[in-house]
Amino acid sequence: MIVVAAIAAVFLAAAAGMALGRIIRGPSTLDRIVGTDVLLAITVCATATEAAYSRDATGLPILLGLSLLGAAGSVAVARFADPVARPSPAVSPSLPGRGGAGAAGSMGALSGAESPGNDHPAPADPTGHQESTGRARGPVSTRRSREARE
Amino acid sequence: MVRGRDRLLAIVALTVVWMLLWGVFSWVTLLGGLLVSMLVLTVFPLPPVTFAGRLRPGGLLRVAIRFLTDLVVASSQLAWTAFGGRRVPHSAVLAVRLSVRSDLHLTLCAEAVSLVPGSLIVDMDRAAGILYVHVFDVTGPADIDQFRRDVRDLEERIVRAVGSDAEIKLINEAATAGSTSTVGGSR
Amino acid sequence: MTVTAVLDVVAGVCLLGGALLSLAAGVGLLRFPDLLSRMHAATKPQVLGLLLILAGTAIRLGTAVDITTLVLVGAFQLVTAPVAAHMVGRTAYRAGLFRRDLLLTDELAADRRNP
Repeated sequence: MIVVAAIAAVFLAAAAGMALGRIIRGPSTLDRIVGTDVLLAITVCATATEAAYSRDATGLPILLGLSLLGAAGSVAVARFADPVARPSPAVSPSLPGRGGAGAAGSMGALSGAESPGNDHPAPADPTGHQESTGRARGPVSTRRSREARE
Repeated sequence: MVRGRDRLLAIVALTVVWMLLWGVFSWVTLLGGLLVSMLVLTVFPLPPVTFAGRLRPGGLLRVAIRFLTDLVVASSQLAWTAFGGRRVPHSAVLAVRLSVRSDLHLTLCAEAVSLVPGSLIVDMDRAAGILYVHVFDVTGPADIDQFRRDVRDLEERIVRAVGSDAEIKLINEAATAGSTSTVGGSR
Repeated sequence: MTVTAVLDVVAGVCLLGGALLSLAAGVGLLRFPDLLSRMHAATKPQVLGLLLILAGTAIRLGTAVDITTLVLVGAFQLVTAPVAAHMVGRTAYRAGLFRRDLLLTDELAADRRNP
């Protein structure tokens, strides 16, 4: 079992490193979200592998929490990064507190991605009223998810 | 009456989750689960999504087995592409029209499609029952047709597992009428 | 071979398979050309890789309390992962964060132009 655990640890560590690489390289906010998602999945896998190796169930409640709430963060950030749902650029810097500068920077990174994304016109959205609630909620939920991650 | 049935189903499901959380199957966890789930459903009422169908064990088993094999095949293909040569994989965004248009059915199909690696829901048209799927590693029109057929088969399996009699009738009509069906709403 | 030895081998295979899928996801995350393709790579450790590792862990732990917890972890993951994937995918498409030259067809764009 120690051999299995060692090999699995090497694989998972390499995968986590690559996910980190994607988080660092970006180039867009959404790439980083995907990287974070993978990193989270790898964390869950690693915790479960540790439990399997040591036959110790202490870590399992952590897995419950992560698997339930892991999606919430990326949903929040994706909602915020949506070019249709997000507030107009004049409004977006009004993010509260310390998040302001970072959020503005990430917005720039989002539009300056590998494809010249901005020439793609924001398509008309069939579910208009849902978008407007998303607009109202976007910044708040993002701030919450940030606080949750710190 | 339909609301009552939905509430009952929700209570049963929540109680099962509660008992699984405790990991103990006893009268205490059963009664506690019923109490907690009733409380939760009173405080946070469910949106009006009705489940009109019936659970069919045979169909559910078929869905599960097929889902697992799809998962293994698609994952190994994707892993092969990831480790494999220098070729840049192409993709496609496809519109797939479903025959049954209830919200619950749309959700189930979308979940199943996006859980399998290699297909990802990009957008959906709820009124028309169209899923827009980003398919990874497409080499030509044959792949596209194959994927459309796969999604329709998946829909048919799901309806046969959890659908109502009316929905099964719709699926049968769609199957006999040909592949691209534009059959009307589910009810 | 005793039963526990066989079970350990099965669990080991599951764990290694899950770890290998995670590694493949990492490689795909770095190598695939655009965001939507990378998201396909991300689905692997979130679904099959995790299920395999949970199965391995369940075999190794083998008590009812732990197995029910692991079943719930798997179920929660299967329910929540597509939600996040759909939101990120939808945003990625709308923001144009994908390489149009790699698409064979784009029926969503066609439907948007003439609904």
